[in-house]
Amino acid sequence: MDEAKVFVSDGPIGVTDFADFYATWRDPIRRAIALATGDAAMADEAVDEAMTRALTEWPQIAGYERPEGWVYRVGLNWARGRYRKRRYELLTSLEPDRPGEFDPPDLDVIAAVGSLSVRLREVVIARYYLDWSTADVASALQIPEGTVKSRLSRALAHLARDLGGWS
Amino acid sequence: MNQLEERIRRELHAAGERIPHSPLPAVGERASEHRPWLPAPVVGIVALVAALVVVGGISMVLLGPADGQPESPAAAATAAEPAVAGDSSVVAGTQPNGSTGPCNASVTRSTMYLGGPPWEGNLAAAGFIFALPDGPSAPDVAGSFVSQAVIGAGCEQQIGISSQSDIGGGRTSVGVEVAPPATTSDLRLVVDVGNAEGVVGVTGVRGATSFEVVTAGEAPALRLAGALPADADRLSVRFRKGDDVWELSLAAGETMVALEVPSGEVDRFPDAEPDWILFTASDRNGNVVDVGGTMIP
Repeated sequence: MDEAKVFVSDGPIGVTDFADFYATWRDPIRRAIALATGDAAMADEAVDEAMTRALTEWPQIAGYERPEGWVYRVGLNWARGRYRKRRYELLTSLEPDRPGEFDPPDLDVIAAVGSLSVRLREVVIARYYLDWSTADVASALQIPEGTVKSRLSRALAHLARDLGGWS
Repeated sequence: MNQLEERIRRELHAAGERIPHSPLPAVGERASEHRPWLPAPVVGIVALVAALVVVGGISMVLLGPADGQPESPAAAATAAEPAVAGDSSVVAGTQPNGSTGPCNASVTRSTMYLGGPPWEGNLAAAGFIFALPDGPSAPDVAGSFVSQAVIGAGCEQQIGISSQSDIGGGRTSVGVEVAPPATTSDLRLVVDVGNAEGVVGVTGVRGATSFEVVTAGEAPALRLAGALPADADRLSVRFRKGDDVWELSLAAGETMVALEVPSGEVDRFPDAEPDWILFTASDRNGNVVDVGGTMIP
C-alpha cells in the first residue's frame, strides 16, 4: 500500500478532516474511475458527486474504515448510471499532461482490461491501480472478500487468455 | 504478485498517469466556472463547504467559492427537473429520471427510477431491485426506495410506515403509505426488504395491481392479473438484464408485456435472463398511481 494514500483521522471529525481527505483522495479515485469508465471528464463529475455526498454525510462516512472506498463505490455507481445506455469505451486516446514524461501504456493490456465486464474491471482497477488489498477492495465495494478473489481470478484468467501465454 | 499481475499493475499506472490533470478549484474560484458541467447541487455543496469553513473559523478554503453566488431556487429546480417519458411505445435507456425537486404540488414526478437511483450509493446489487450498504433499517430502506422513486427526494414527510413484519428468511415486509403531492389518493404499498452479503435492499413491492411474471414462454413476461387504477394512463416496465436496465413504456391497457430487449437495440447480455422487474402506472400528469415489482427466480 502506498503510504501517501493512507488517510488517518486523528482529530475531531469536521470540515478540516474532510479537506484532508479530499486533497488526498480526489485525484487517485478520479483516475481510477477514469480507468474503469474510460471517460476522464465523466470521472471528474463522478468523483465530485461522490465527494459531495461524502461531505454531506461526513460525520458518518468518516467513521468508516475506508471512507475512500465508499467514495470509489459511490462514484462508480454514479458513473455506471450515466453509462448504462452505452458500452464503456476504452481509455486509449489520452494525451499526457507532459508529453514524453511517461512511458506509453501497453494498449494491449488496457484493451484487455477494457474488455472485462464492468464488475470485474472495477475490482481490477481497485486492486492493481489503487493498490488496495483484496480485503480493502471488499470493504470498498461492499462485497465479500471471497467474491473479490473470485472476480480477480476470473479477470486474470480472461486477461491471460487475451494477452496470450501469460499465467 | 505474478508476472501477469505485475504487468497489469504497471500498465494501469502508466495509463493512469496519462489521464489529464484536473486541478482542484482554487480559493475564490467558482466551481461551476471551473467545470461548467458541474451540476447545481454540487455548486450548492461547494458553497456549503465554504460556509462551514467560515463558521468554524478556519481561514483556509480548500473547496469553496468565496464569492460565488448560490444558484437561485428556480435554476436549481430546472437543473434537477426530471426527463419526461416520451410518447413512443418503446423507450430504451437507463438514465434516472425521478424527481429530486422540492416536495410541493408543482413537482413534476415521472416514472420510477431504474432499480433505484444510481447516484445515492445504490448498489443495484444482484438479488435486489434497490440496494444500499448494510446499516439502515428495513423501514428506512423501504422509505428511501419509495421516496426517491415515487415521490421524489425531499418528500419523506409524505411517507408513513403502517406496519412491519418478519416474513422469514431474513426478510421483512414493510407497509408503506405514501401521500404524493398533487395526487388525489394515497398509495399503499408493501415493500419486501432483504439482507445479504453486506447489502440491504428491496426484493419486491406490491401495490393495488396484482401481477405475476410468467417464465414458461420463450422470454419471461409480465402479466397484469388485476386491473390498474382507473386513473392510470401509462405503464412503464423496467427490467434488468446483465448490467443493463431497460424500460418499456406502454399504454395502460396492456396486460401482457414480454421482457425483451426492444428490437433495434443491442442486447449486450443475450445469455442473461432478466433478474428483476419493476412497473409503475402513472396518470396523465405523470404522477405514480401504482407500483409493483419482484425478483425473477
